[in-house]
Amino acid sequence: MTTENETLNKPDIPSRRTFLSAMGATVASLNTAACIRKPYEKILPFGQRPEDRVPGRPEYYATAASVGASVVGLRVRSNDGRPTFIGSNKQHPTSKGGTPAWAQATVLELYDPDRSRTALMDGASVDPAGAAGAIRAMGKAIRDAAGRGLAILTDETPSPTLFRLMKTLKEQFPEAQQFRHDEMGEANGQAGAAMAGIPNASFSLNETPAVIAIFDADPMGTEGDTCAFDHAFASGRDPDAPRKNRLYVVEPYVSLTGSNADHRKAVKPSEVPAVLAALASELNSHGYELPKLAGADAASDKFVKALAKDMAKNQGVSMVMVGERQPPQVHALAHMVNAALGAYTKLGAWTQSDAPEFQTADELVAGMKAGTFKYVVSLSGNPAHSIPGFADAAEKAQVLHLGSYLDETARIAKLHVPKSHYLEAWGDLVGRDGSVAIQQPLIAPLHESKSAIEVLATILGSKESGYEQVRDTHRSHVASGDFEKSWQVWLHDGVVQSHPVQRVEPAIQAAQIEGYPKAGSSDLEAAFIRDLTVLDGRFANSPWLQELPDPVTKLSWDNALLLSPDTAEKLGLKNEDMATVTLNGASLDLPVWIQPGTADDVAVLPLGYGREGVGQYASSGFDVSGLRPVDGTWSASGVQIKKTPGSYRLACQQLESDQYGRPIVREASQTDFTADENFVAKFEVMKPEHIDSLLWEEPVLPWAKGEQHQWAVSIDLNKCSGCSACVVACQAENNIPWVGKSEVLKGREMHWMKIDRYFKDNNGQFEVKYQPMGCAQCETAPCENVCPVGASAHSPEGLNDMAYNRCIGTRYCANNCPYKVRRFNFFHYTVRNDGEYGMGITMQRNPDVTVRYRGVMEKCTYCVQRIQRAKIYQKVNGGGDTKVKDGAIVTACEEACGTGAMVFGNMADPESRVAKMKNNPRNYAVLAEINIRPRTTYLAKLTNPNPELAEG
Amino acid sequence: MSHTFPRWTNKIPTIVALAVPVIGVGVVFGMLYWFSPYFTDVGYMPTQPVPYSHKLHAGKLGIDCRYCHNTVEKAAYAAVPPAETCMNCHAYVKKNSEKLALVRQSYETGESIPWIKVHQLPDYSYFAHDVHVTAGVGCETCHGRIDQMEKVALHSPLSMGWCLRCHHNPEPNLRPISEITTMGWEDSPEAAEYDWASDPHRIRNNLQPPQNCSGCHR
Repeated sequence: MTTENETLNKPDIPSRRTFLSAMGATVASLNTAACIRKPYEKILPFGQRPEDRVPGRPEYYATAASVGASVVGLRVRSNDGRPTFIGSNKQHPTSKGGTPAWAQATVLELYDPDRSRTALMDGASVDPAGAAGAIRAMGKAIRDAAGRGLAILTDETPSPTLFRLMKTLKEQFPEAQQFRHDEMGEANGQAGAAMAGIPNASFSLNETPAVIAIFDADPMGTEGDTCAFDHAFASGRDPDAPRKNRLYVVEPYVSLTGSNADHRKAVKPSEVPAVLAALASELNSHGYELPKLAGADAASDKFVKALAKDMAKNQGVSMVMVGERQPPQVHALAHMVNAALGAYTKLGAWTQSDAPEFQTADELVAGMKAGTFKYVVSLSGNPAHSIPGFADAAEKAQVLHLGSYLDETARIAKLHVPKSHYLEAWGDLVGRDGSVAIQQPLIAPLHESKSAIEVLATILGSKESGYEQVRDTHRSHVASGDFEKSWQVWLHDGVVQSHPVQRVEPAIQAAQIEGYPKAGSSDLEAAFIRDLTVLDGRFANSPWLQELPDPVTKLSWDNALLLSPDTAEKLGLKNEDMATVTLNGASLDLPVWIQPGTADDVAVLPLGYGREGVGQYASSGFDVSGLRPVDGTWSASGVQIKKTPGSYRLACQQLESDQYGRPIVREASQTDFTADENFVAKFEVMKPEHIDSLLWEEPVLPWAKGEQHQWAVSIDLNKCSGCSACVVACQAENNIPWVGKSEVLKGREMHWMKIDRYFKDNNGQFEVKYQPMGCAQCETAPCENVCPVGASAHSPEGLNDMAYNRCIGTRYCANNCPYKVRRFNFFHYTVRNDGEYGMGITMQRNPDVTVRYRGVMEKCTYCVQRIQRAKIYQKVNGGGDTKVKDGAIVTACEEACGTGAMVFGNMADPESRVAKMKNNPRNYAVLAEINIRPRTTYLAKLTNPNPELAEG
Repeated sequence: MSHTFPRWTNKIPTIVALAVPVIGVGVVFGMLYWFSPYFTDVGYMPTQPVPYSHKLHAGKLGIDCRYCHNTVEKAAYAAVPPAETCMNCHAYVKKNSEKLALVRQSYETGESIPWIKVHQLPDYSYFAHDVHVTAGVGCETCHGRIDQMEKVALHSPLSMGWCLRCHHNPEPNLRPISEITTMGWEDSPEAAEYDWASDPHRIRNNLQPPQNCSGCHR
C-alpha cells in the first residue's frame, strides 16, 4: 500500500505520444516564429499620469505587517503599481531592519488566486453593494438591539484603530462582548504575566542579555518579535561585542532557537516546568528569594547548576524566556525569576497595552452553545477550524466571517466577506514597545474585499473608510494644524513618531504559584509545534513557503512525525515509514522523519499542513490539529504510535547532514578564538603556498586591473540564525519559480540561495550549524571554462555573469560547480507556475530580472539588477564621481536579513564594510584548497560554551 | 566491360568542389544580410492609432523632445507621454479635430492610447535612456531624424553588435549635453569641430560603457 499524495507525487513523465506531439508543435512554432518579426507589443501610457510618477521606475512605500502581536516594519517595492518585493524598514524599532520568511512571502499571498473574491450570503455570491448592504443591515440590527447578542471575535492583531473602535463599541453597547483567539498568539504568556502581577502589558527586549535561558520557546522562529530577538542575539556574538551572550535552551524538539544554542537540553514537554522550577530553586542557593516548588531538585542536574551559577554571576543581564507551549504557571515563575535577576530593568521595557479587555474562545463557544449570541462577527482567522466546538455552536448564531479564503468558517457563515490583504487596506499596528506603524496600502483591493477596520466601522455606523478611521485614531496625538504634515512624515518613515507610549514597572513578587505542573510521566508525549515556514497554517497556501525547506529538518511540502533516533528505533520506525498516531481517541497516519536532537519519547507534530478546501497548496502534508486536545494545549501524554504498512516519500532538500570532517563550517569557542585569533588557518586542507604553485601559468585576471568596483560578499556565520528569510527574498527578487514536491524529490529545486545545515555531535550534545550558500562568483570559476557557448563569463567587476539567452543547457557548468549552486530549469517551471497561479505570479514578477526559459541554467549574480541600477544612478547623478557608495547596493538577501549576517559591497574600496570583513581574522573561503578564489567568503562561527559544561 | 556510371559523372566532384564554397558563402552572407535586424527590423514603420506627426511637432514646430518624453533623463524609459501632455495644447489648438478623438477620450476616461511599439528590445536586454542621454548620446544617434518622420520608423537595428560597436568606442557618437535633442547635429559644422576630450561641461571622466554580459542582460 502506498499512501502517497496522488496529485503531488504523480511523476511528470509524459507519454511517448505526448512527447512526440509536443516536439512536433515546438518545431512548427519555432519555424513560424523564425519567419515573422518580433512579437507585436503595445505601449499603453496613462491618460493622466500621477504627479512624480516615472513609468518603469520602482517606488518604495513604508508599511507594516503582523502575525499575532508581532509587528514587522516594511518598505515595499512597487513596480508600476504592482507590489513586487517586501523590503525591510530599517527605522522600525521592533523589527530592526529584518523581515521573517513569512513576511517575504506575503507579496505572493496578495496575488493568491485561491483568495476569496466575492462575498457570500448563505453560500451564494453577492455583489459588493449587496455585501456592504448586508453588513450595514446587520450593523443596524445590532445597534437597534443595543449590542445585545453580539460577539466580536478577533485575533491578536495589535491595531490601535481596531482597539479604539472596539472600545467605542463597548462604551456604546456595553452588552456586546469581545473575544480573542490566535493560534500565533500568546494566551498562555498573558495569563502567566497576569498571574505574576503584570497587567495588560508587553515586554520588548532592547539589548542582548549575557545569559539567555529559553524554556520551550522559539523567539528566533515562531514566537514574539523574532527579528528583535535575532538582532539582540547577533549583537552579542561578535568577539568584540561589549556584552557577549550565552544561550541555553531546554526544549522537547529542535526549534530554530535551540539549533543556535550554546547549551541545549532535550527534555519532554512535561519536564520543562520541572527544569525551570529546579533553576529557581537552585538560584535560591545563590542568594535569591524564589519559590521552591515541589519536586524541584536541582542537586543532580549539572546543566541547571551551571546555568544558575552563570545567571547569578551576570546579575541584571541574564534572563529566562518561556514559550507559549508551556502553561501560564511556568510563565509566572519565569517572570519571578527575571524580576529577581533584575532582567526587566536593564534589558528592556514593559509597555502598557491599549488593547481592550477580551474574553477567551472557550467563553465564546459556551455562549454560542447557550444561545446568548445572535450575531458572531469573526474579524480574522478561521475559528471553525481553530476553535474546537465553534462550528457546531455556530448554528445558533448568524456568523459574519471576514476571511481571506473560503475555508471552514466561510462555509458555515451567514455572510462571508473577503478580507483585504495588508497591502490593500489602511491600518495601523502597535509593537510590543509601544511604537506605532501605519499600515499603508500599495494597491487598491484586487477583489471585493474589506478590512477588519472597515467592517467594524460599518457595524458601528461610523465612517466606513479605513483611511479616515486610521487618521482619526492618530489625529489626537498632534496639534490640529500640524496633522497633515505629521501624517506625511509618518507615511514616509512608516513609524508614528509622536505616539504616546506608557511604560510600566511591573510589581512582580515571588510567591507560591497555584497549580504548577508536576513533573512528567514516563509515557510517550506529543508536542504540537508551529511550523517554521507556514506557522500555524495561515501561510500554508504559499508555494514559496511550502517549498522553502524547514531550516532544521530541511523538509519541504510536508510535515512529518518527528522522532528522536532512539525513540524511532524503539518503535521500529525509520525515515518515510508510515505510522499511526493515536491520541485522545483520534488517530492519524503520517510519515516519520528522524530528527536528531529531539527529546526521547516525544512525538513532534508540526501544525499547519494538510488543510483541505483552502487552496491548491494548503492540502499538502498532514493535518495534525485533529489530534490536539480539545482545550488547545500544546502537548499531551498518552500518545500511541504504531507502525503501519506503507511508506511516503518526503521531499527533503538536504539529505546529508555531516561535514565528514571537512572544514566547511569552521568554528571555535570564544576562548579558543582569544587564544588563537587565526584559528581558521589551521583548518586549511592545503597550505596557501601550495595552492599558489599551479600546474599552469597564473592567469592574468582582467578584473583585477584597476577597476574601481570589485563586488564581494561576506557572511558572518555568527550572526546567521538559519531563519531562511533570505531564501524567500531571493525567490521574490529574482523571479525564481517553485517546482513542486515531485521535482524537489528529484533534487530539482530552483532556489538560487540555500541554507546548508549540518548536524554535529559535540561530546553528546546535539548541535546545528547553518551556512547560507549561493553562487560565490569564483575568480577562477570552474563553471566558466566548461561552457561551450560562453553563456557564463566573468565581468571586469568580478561577477560570474549569466547570459541566459545564450545557454543551451549542457549543464556542464553545474557539474563543475563545487558549491552546487547552479540550478537548471528542467521543465518550463515558470510556465507551470503561470498555469497554477495565473495572473498572480505575473503580477509579482520583478521586471528588472529576466524570466528564464526551460533548458536554461540559472544562478545568483549578487542581484546584478540592483548593482546596475545603483551604478547608473551614480553615473547620472554623481557629477563625475562614478564610484558607488558603500551600502548603496543592498542585495535582496542582505535586505531581508535583520542581523547583518550578510554584507555585500565593493572590496576594492578598503573603507567598505565588506573589505573590512575580509580582513577579519575569522575570514575564510569554503573549499579554498581547489583554488577557485570565491568572492563570497565566511566569517567563522564562534560559540560561547560555559566552561563548566564544555567538558561533556 | 560495361560502365556502371556514365562518363559525365566524372565531373561531379569538380562541380561539387566548385559549388559548395559558392553556396556556402552565399548562405552565410545571405543569412548575415536577410536574417539580420538590419534587414528584418530597420525601417519598421507601423501605423499608429493616432496619426501623430513627429515631422510637424518636433520638426516644423520645434518642440523639444523632452517636452513630451520628459522622463528620458531620469529613468530607463523615455516614457510615451500621457494624453494630458497632448491636451496641454490641444485643449486650445484643433480642439475638435477628428484625428484627436482618441486623445480626448484617453484624457477623459483614463484609458490608454494603444500605441504600437517601434523600438522593441528583447525581454532579456535592459536598456536605460538616462545613462546614455546624460553621457552625451544624442536622440538622433539611435533614433535618426525623427524631425523628418511623418510616421516613426525604426532607424537602427538595435542588435547586440550595433550596441557593442558604440560601447567599444563611444567617442564618435558623443555630443555636447546642450545638443542632446538637436536634430541634424551630426552633419553640422559644429560636430566636425567638436572635441569631446576638451568639453568642460561634460561628465567625461570614467565613461566606461560596460562590455560584459550583465551590463545589459540581468
